Amino acid sequence: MTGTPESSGQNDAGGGAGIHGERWGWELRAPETSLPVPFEEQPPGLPPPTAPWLARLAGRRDRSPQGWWSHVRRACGVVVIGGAAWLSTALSWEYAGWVTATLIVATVVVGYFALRPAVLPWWGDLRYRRWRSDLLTQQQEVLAATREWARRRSEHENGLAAESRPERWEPLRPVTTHRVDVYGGDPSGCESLLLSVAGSLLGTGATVTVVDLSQDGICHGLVRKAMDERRTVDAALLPHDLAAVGLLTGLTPEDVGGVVAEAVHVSERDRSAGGDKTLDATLIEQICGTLRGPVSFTRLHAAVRVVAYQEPRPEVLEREEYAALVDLLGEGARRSTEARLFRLAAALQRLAALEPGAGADGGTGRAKDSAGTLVDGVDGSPSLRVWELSERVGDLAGELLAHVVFQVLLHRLRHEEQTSGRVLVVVGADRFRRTHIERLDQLARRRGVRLVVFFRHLREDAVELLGGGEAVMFMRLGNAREAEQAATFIGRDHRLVLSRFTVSRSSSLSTSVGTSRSESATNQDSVSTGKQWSKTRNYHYGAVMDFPHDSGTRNRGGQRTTTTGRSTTVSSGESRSEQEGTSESQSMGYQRVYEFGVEPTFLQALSPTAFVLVDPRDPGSPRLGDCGPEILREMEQPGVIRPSDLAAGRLPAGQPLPSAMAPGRVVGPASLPPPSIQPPSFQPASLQSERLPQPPANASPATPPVEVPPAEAEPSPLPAPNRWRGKFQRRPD
Amino acid sequence: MRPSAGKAAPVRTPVRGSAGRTVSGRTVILPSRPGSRSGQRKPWVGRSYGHLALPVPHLDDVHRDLLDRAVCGDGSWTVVNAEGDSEPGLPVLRRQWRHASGDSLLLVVLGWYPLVLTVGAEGAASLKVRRAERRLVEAALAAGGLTVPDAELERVLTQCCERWEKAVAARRVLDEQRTWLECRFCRTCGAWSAYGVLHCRGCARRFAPADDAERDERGRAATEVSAAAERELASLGCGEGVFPDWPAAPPAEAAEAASRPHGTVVTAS
Ligand SMILES: [Zn+2]
Repeated sequence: MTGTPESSGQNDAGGGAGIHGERWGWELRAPETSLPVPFEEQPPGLPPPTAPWLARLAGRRDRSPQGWWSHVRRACGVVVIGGAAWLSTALSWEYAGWVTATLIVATVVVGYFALRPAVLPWWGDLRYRRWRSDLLTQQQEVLAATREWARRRSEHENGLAAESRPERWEPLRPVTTHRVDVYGGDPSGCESLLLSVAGSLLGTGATVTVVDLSQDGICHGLVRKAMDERRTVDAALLPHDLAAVGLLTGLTPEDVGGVVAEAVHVSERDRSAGGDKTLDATLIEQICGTLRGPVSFTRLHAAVRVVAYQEPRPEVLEREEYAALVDLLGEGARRSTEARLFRLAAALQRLAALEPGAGADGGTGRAKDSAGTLVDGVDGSPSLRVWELSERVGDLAGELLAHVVFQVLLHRLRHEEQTSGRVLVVVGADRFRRTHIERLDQLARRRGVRLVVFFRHLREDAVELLGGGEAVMFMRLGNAREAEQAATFIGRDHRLVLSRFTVSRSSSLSTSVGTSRSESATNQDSVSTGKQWSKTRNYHYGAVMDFPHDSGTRNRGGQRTTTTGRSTTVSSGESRSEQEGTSESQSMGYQRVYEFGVEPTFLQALSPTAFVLVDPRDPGSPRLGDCGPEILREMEQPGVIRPSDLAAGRLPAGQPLPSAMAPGRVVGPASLPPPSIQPPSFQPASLQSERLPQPPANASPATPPVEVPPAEAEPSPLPAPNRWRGKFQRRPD
Repeated sequence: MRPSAGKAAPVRTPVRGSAGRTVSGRTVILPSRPGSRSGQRKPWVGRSYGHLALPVPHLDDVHRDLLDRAVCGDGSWTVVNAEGDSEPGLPVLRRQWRHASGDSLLLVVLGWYPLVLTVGAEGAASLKVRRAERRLVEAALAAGGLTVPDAELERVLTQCCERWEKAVAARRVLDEQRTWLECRFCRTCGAWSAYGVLHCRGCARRFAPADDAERDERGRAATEVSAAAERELASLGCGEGVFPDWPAAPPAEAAEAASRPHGTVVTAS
């Protein structure tokens, strides 16, 4: 579900639909945060101050003179004037009453001023208590208003939080619906990818044909899955099932000539120019023309020998056929074509030797009814057809047979009807020439067949093909030059985000490789740099406002990965912290992103199931995906992967499959050795941790720039959605 | 930030800019401030209350505990309704302590930015209450606080109201800048995605280096604006500008100031 706005938008809505559609792998989608719309409403403040009496009282107090002497003076004044008033009562003249009254008034006034310093504090305390009581009443209203405000703000934030989505895996597929070239990858990784792609396509009802010429058993997982799902499977192991497949069945003499001549010539490409391909084709065509019954490599080989050496009649040829073959070429013609006939005979001898029971029944009459078609979508035909080249075939014969198979493939495709919903997967296409792949591409395009081509390496003809199709996928490319070429193709200015899952798979793999191939551990030293980004959000607890906000804390650190002979991965980093905050701020959550630039070392150190998808039609290209089957299991049944599974190496790729297989016509894989996928061996934690990325010494403890992935059993290496639920929430403490 | 050790222990509060002198008295004597007339008088008219300013925006847990320890240090005082006064998500506006004998002391928050509070006896101002109040004032002063005289209280509270408005505005700026610190904008489709993502949430396209540069630039600008708003908040919260020479210098600077000869020693009897 890459890329296209429509597809991404639709699948974003329902993750469940994506699980069951076409899926090449999973892309880790970053958490989506809601746009932080500020809460408009202003928080209620404290009631405005109204205490004019305080200043008045203070003013009065300040105006009264200070010091003990002033008190003594006022006391003396009261005593003197009071005494005078008392004495005045003894006067008997006419105005004595007035004098006494005046003195009494004066005594009262002086007494007030004398007593005021003692009275003011008492009065102040009284007023204070009244004022404070009013204040407490007002504050109750403030608290009630604040409570309401906090509730509304909380609703506002909950509304925003509902728009955010946690980090998650989403199905990934190329936008293109035609050809995808896959480069690199080890057998287990390719098997996972094939299982993911073809398995999901089978689920959509498509008819899938897999031609697995890798001799690595890459198709085994897919065949098992298809049988487990009770799909009709037609699996053939070559050369064991050559007769059943009937490669040459239904071919005209001209076609047989073309197929054999092309195969012989292509397999001879490393030698000097091997003569005239047209001549070879003509010779085979004429020889085939004399054969009455079905054509097999054994019979063809015998016929060529008869023409070349005028041998006595072999058992596999009829009398009439023999007579015609003996007279096929005149003496002159036979002499001039002798060299070519020898070569053809030698090649056909190898092919004939591959045919089971060669010479016994002449390979006749065993071809199946359906052998004439390859990717037919007719009802009743198998939904999965597999031709697999056995690993037991020798190099020369295998090479020859692979080319014959490929030529037959081209031939059958040429004669197909155009229908939709058919997929052709060619695994191990490295041995074919660019022109052949292009011819296959052209034919598949015309017939409406989707084409997926797996190349083990990015070299020779594969390099010339790079980008010739539509989408390109790179899996792990161990070779430095191949990785270099791929990095250049992807574009080095791009950055990719690794998931913890991918990181842990990758590091466990690199550890196991390191232990098993320690002798080659010092061949190459390379350094890849990445950027690590983390962000801390702080909550400031303020009065009424515990607004969460980002205080600009950003840890950016260079990340340095040293790869030595692709066996050890050491990461060190520098982290520059720009944190500013007060003692009030609390770190609430953090987010970690493993960002890597597209460097050759990045591609060399990719996890076996990770891939980079480059699709020119996808505006989001390049994308990093992972086709690990654990992710699908996790999506279907969350909680399946336990952190300890990955850490202890119990889970990865080669999980045993149920022995009770669904009934089906098993021709191939049942008789094959078990899949070549082995769970990576794991080091004890103490050893492994030395190789894993280490947090830099000066990093903030809350935000280690690199989490140590699988060495510790504690943190879950899989960022399952619920692992991120707590993010941006207040930490309970 | 330690609570006062008790009335016997001298509280050394270096105050910048004040003339060096030692004052003793029954209550803590206000350090002299230019423009304040209360240097020679008790700051408060009444005898059973006092007003304090602390260089924090509001009564937080740290200072609440500090005051609790100061009052309840002798073991005979307890906090009344501690849970009810500190409802989660709501500001603390009051605090009450009660003595075993029934006397009680009540603290009421009057203003924020900086924190202004008043503390006084509830009912009769007995000797026990006054001692507890004195311990509280000493602790507040030791924590960098200041006594606010009656004559200045209304002015300070008016300033608090204005400063609160400014603080809300600064918070608002911080909130607005979060957009650029947590999100990135897509010019193609206009959607907002999380800051660190490589692909647009709306149109699924991969952000180009130019988009990253623009985002970083915006983020940088937003960081600067946020930092300025944070500085303003900090300045408002610590009470800068409310009183001359207050708050005191940060600890390192304060220690340096204390070693200077003119550092004031305020002694409580
Ligand atoms: Zn967009």
